[in-house]
Amino acid sequence: VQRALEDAAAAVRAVKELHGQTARLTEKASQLERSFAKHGTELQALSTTMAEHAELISQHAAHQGKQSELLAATAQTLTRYVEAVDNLRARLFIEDRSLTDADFLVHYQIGERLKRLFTQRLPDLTNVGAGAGPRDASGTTALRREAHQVRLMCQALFEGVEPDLKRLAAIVTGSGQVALSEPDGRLLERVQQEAARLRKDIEGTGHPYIFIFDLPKETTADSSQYELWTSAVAGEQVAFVVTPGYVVSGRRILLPAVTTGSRDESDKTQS
Amino acid sequence: MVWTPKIVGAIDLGTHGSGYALAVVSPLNDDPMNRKVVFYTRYSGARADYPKNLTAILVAEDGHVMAWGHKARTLWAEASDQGNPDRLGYAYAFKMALKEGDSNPDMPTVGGTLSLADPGEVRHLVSSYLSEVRKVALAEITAMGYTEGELRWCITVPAIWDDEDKQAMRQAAYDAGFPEGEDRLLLSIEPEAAALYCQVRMVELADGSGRKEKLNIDIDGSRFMVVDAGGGTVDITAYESSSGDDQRITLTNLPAIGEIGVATGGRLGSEYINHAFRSRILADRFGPESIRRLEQEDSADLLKLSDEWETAKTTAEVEHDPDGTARFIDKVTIDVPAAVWDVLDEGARARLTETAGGKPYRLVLQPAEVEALFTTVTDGIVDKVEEQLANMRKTSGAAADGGETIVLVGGLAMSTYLRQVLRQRFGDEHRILVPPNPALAVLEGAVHYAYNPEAFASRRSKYTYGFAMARPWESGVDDPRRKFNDSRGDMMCRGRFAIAVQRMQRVVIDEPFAFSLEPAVASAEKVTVQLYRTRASDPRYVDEAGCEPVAELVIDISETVHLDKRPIDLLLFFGRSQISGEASDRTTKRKFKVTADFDQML
Repeated sequence: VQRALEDAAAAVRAVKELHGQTARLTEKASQLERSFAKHGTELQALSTTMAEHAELISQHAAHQGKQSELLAATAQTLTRYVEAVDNLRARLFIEDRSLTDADFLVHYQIGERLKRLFTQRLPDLTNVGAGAGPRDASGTTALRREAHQVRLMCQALFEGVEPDLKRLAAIVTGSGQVALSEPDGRLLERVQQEAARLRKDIEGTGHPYIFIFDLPKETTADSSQYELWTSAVAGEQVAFVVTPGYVVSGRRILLPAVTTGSRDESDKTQS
Repeated sequence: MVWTPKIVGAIDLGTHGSGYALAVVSPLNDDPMNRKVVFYTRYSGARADYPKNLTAILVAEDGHVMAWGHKARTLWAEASDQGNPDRLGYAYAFKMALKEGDSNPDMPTVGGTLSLADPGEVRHLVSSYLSEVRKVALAEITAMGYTEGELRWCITVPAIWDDEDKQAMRQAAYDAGFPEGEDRLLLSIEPEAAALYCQVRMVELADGSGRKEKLNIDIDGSRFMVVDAGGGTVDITAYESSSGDDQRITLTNLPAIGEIGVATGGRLGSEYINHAFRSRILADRFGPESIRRLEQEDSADLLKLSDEWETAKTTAEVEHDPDGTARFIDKVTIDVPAAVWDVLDEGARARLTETAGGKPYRLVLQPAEVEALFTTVTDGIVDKVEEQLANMRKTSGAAADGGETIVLVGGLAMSTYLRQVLRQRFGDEHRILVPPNPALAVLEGAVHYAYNPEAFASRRSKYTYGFAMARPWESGVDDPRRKFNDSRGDMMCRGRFAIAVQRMQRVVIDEPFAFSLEPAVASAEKVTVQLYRTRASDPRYVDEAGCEPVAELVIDISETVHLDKRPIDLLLFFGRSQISGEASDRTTKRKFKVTADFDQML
């Protein structure tokens, strides 16, 4: 019995101990459960947050996609604008008639041919009847007569709608009073042909042009603005334009050649 | 992203006159046949519009530009007549002095404080002049709505210029503010630009028929000679076109053109006729004492007189004798300014008046005198053309139909007399072409080139390029003094010219030429490879006459000292304006880039 009681007491102690352990385990379990519950809540909150962030990311991605699309569309628009601006600039350049392009260059050659005619060949033609003209000691009369004759020749060839070749011949021959030598006759013929060719070539370009035969009264003979005919004095008043200026599309290809003298002389000569 | 220009501009810096032209880059302007190219014509100080300005510059004592072009000359004449109190410097026709040793004492082109003997000063003048052109051009393109960042430039250079001269021009342009980089600033060889112009525009046949033809570079094997008769020199260059087997030839993708023979020419430009006029006619008619006084006291009016001659000289008409010889039939009359007339003595005035048919203030040159002045250069031009024709036959054999094509461009090509002289001498046998605006052919051609540099994406090499190498010694062939034993004991010959690109070989821009080498000394830690060039086709040694070093490549091979075989690969790239090299050590895979420090090809 004693042993049984001891065994029972030991069993009770063991049970008590087990009970204590169970209680501690229960407590631990309970603590763990509380902790799990707490972390679960936190996890749930985190999960919710993550879901929210995922949603936000998704929204941002969608937004970014839209932004990228917008950006691409803007880039395309910009490219189109740049192309349009480029085309516009190119078109303005190509269609700008005020710029000197290859088609216009012919006028510089025409200018040189005109200058050759005005300053070389026409004065040569004034020598045809040179023997008949009066000469003074200084030769001024000869130069003035030449300037006047050259002006008349230029007017005959370039003032009217068509070059007046007969009028040119009349000026050269004194209306038929001077018989031309063979070389002079050839020279006149060459001048007539060249004048006719020049008029044709000028018209052929299609560019608007003018010949300047007259200048405003009291214009000063300024060598930066005009060619000065032989013996003309810079700074004096222009008596008359000897050879015309050639202006095409507003550009001065050839300057007018002017001579100077007193007003009386000028009026007399012009009349 | 590849930069592409929206607008292109070209500058033709000539001896006598210079100009610039522009074209917008647009599908609307892509067709070269109908491309709109515009020329600037409103230069300050010029009394009338003209597409070229005088190549003259006036600088202050401290070097800053006072004026350029016509204005420079006018201001200099005034300053000079006053004794140049402000110590200004004036230069005219200074471009050729950029090529060292090319200054010409017969032709005074400087005044005041300047000297063309100093290459640095010449480069400064060229740079200053280019800077002025650039300013005008930028103002114009800005007004058109473009910026400099959208602009590609092209500057023309003579064919006879060497690589170093071209580099000097490129550097002068950089100093003037032009953009750096091969794609932003091109150099165009003048006769090539002229040829391109004649290819895209119809050119008149100088047979008097008025018929127009094309140059036909696009026909494989076609040959032509460009005679560029300018203000200072006449440059004569012969070319032959050849396409690669796979190359499609179009107007915008022309076949390679390569020089045949060597560019020739000489001091036969328009300025030499003017010089003869001053030294012969004026000295004879006015007397040496009057000329001396005028030069000292009234150079402005003396300049006017020269100007008159300059414009009048090409005006006299020409006809043929029964034997076809060209003869002037017109005399040339020049106005003598009153200030000059007053300096002349009574006898000179009387003689001048008498020869002018009783008219004072006139200087009349009879047709024979005009002809004598022209023959000072035309005889030489004929000889040079003859020489180049012989060169073409010698180098490439006779042309298929026996006749060559001669393209005449430049300001002097406007002279009827020169055309007739060439026609009479060569017209029966050869085709002579003169473009509608010969004085502007180079300028417009350069614009087309800037628009589409691929038009000449390949050309034939002007030189043979190669490396200085040691090669196995050949008994009986190599000089014993060149013999040495390499590390392996092999008998080697030093100084051999190992050809990388042979003269006249077709070179495509940026296409690599491969070459391999191995160090002769086993313990070498670096290899120095020297690039040489020569006009000879098959040089054996790098120290032969005509061979010259042009660049040096240093390759570090220290990491492979222990190895028995140490091969190195070399690649040569011929760019538009540079040769670049790339060396790679085949063992270590290390790469070294080298760029020759001058313009090699355009």
